[in-house]
Amino acid sequence: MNCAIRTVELTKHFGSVIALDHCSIQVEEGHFFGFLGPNGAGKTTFIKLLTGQLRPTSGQPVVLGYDVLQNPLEVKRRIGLVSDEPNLYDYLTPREFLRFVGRLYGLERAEIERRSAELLALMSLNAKGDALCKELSHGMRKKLELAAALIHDPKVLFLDEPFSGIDPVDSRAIKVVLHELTERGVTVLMSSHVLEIVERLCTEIAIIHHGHLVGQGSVAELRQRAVAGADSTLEDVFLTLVQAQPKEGGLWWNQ
Amino acid sequence: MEPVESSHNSALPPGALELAHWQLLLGWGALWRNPRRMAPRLVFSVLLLLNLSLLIGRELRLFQSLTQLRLDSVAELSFLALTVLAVAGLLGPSFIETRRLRQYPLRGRLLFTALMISGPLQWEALAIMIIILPLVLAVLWPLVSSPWTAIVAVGGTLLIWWQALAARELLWELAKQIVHGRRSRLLIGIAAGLGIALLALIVKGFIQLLQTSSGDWRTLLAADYSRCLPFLPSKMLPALLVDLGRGRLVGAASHLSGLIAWTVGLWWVGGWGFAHSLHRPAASDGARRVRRYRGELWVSPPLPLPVAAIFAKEAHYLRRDPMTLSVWAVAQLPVLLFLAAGIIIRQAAGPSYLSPSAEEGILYAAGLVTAAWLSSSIGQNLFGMERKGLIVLLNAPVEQRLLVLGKNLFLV
Repeated sequence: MNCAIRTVELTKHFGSVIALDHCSIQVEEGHFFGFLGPNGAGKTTFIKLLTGQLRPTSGQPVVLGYDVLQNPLEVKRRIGLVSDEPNLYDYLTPREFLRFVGRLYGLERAEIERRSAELLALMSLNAKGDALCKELSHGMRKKLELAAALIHDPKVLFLDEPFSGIDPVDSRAIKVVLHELTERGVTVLMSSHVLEIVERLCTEIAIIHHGHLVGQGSVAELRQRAVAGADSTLEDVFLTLVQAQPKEGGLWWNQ
Repeated sequence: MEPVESSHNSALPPGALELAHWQLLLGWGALWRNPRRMAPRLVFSVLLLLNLSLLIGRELRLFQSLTQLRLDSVAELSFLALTVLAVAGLLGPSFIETRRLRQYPLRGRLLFTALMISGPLQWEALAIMIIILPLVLAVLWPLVSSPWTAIVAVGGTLLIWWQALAARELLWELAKQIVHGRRSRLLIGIAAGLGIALLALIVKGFIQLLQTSSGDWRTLLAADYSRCLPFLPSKMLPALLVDLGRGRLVGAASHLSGLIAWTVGLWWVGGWGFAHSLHRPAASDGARRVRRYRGELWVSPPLPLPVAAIFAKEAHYLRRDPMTLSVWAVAQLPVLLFLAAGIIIRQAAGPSYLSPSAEEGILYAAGLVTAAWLSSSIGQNLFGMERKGLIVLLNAPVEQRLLVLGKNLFLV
C-alpha cells in the first residue's frame, strides 16, 4: 500500500518555543489516522505544516508523494482541510460559498452545482442554503466547511477538531461520511480531543505531547506501549503516555 | 506652456531627489532581509521619510505650477491630511484583519499588508512605467539647461523603472515566503512585458524616422498612432471620443486602431500568461493535445476560473458588506479629486483647455491614470478585507498572482 502522508524529522520553532520536535510519521492510503494530544501539544501546527500553511524549521513534509515545500499547489489540489475554527465568507450563502470554492479548484459549473446539492443535502444544510453564512450556527458553519473541503473530491482530508460544536445527529452523519470516504481510499488525518470518537473511527493513532511524538500505532499497540491492560480505554493509555497526573483535591471552596 | 521654476528653486540638481529616493528604498528593502541590522534600517527609514517629504512638497509645487492650480497653505495641508487619513484608514483595518495570520511574526503581517496594498497587476505596472518616461520628458523639457540634466532625468526614470520592477520582485519573493506558494511566473511576465515595451519603442522610433523623411497623410497617421501607442487603453477611448467630437478623423482612426491593438495584445498576453490555468491537460496527455489546447485559447473564456470566482465573490460582497462598500467608495476619492481638479482647471483655462499644449494633456491623462491605479491598489488589494476567508484563498491551489488579478479586475 502507498504512503499518503509522510513526515521526516519535522520540526517547528516559534522563536524560543519548540512547537514540534523531530516528528516522523507515516500514514498509509485509505487509513483513518487520529492525532491526539493535550492543548498546545502541537496538533494544529502539525496539520498546518502538512497543508503548507506553515513552513517547518527543519524536516520534510510529504503528501501523496509531493514535497509540500516544493509543490504546494499540487498538494493543495489533492487535499481538503477543515480548520479548528470555520473559515467562511460571512456575506456569501452556503450555496455561493461552495460554488466559490469549487471554482477555485477549477471544477466545471455543472459539476459544482451537482456536488453542491449533494453536499448540502448530506450535511442537512438545504434549508439554510440561501441564508448568509454569518447567520449560521457554529455547527452549521463547521459542516459547511467540511462540505467545502469535500467538493473537489480530495485524496487526503485533514480535520482539525471536526466534531467540536456539532450536535449528536450531525456528528453521526459526519462519521458515516468519513467512514465511507476511507472505504473509497481517501486518507483522513484527524486531530481531536474526543477520545471516544478517535477510538471508534481511527485505524491508527499518534499521540503528541510538548511537540514530541510519544506513541504511534493501533489502539492495541498503544496499550502495549503504555503497559496497560487489555480492558484499558484509550483515555487511560493517553493519560499514561502523556504522563498526566490527575489533579487532587479539586476546588478549595468546594471542600 | 510656461517654464516651470520649481526645480530651480532647489539647490539640488534635477533628478537628485528621485535618485536618492529609489536608492534609499532599495537599500531599505535589502536591509529588510536582514532583521538583525536594526540601527541602519532605522537610519534608512528616517532618511527615506525625509526624502519622501521633500519629494512630495516639490511635486505638489510642480503640479500647481503646471496646472496653474493655486492652493493656499490651508487647502494644501487639508489635502495632505486627508490623504494621510485615507491611507491610514485603509491600512489600519487591513493590518488588523491579518490577525488570522497571527502565527506569523509581526514583520510578516506588516509585509503582507504592505504587499496587498502595493501590488498592482504587473501589466498595469508596466503600462504606468511606460507613461512615466514621456511624462518626465514632457515635464522636464522646459527645465533642461544642459545635456547632463537631460541624462540625469532620463537615467533617473529608467532607474525608477528597473528598481520598481526589482522592488516588486522582492515583494513577491517575500509574499512567497509568507504564504509558501510555489515560485510565481513573475520573471516570465516581466520578460514578456519588457519585450512588448521594447517592441513598442522600436516601432515608435521607426515611425518617427519615417515621419522625418516625408510629410504625407500616411506618415501623419503613423505619427499620431505612435504618439498614442504607449498609453493605456483607458486613454484611448476618451481620446477617440474627443477626436470624433472635434472632427479629427485621422486622430480618431489612430486612437481606434491603438485601442484595438491594445485589446488584442492584452487578450493574447493574458491568454498566454494564464494558459496553464485555463486548461490543465492531464500529465498523460501528449504534447499534441497540449498544443491543441493552446490553439483554443483564442476562443476560451478570458478569465481563469479562480479569477472569475473571486470576481463573483467581490460582486456579492460589494452588495452586502457595508465595510467593503465603504472601502471601495473611499478608494474612488483620488480619482474624484483628480476629476475635480480637471474641472477647476478647465473653468480657469476656458475653451483653450488642453488644446494648445500637449504636455498638459499628457500630465492630466497620466495623473488620472495614476490616480485610478492608486485607487485600485488601495481599494482592491486589501486582502485583509477577506477576513476569515483569507485562509480559504491561501489554502486553494491558486497562484497568488491570480488572486491579486481577481481582486484588481473587479474594480477595473
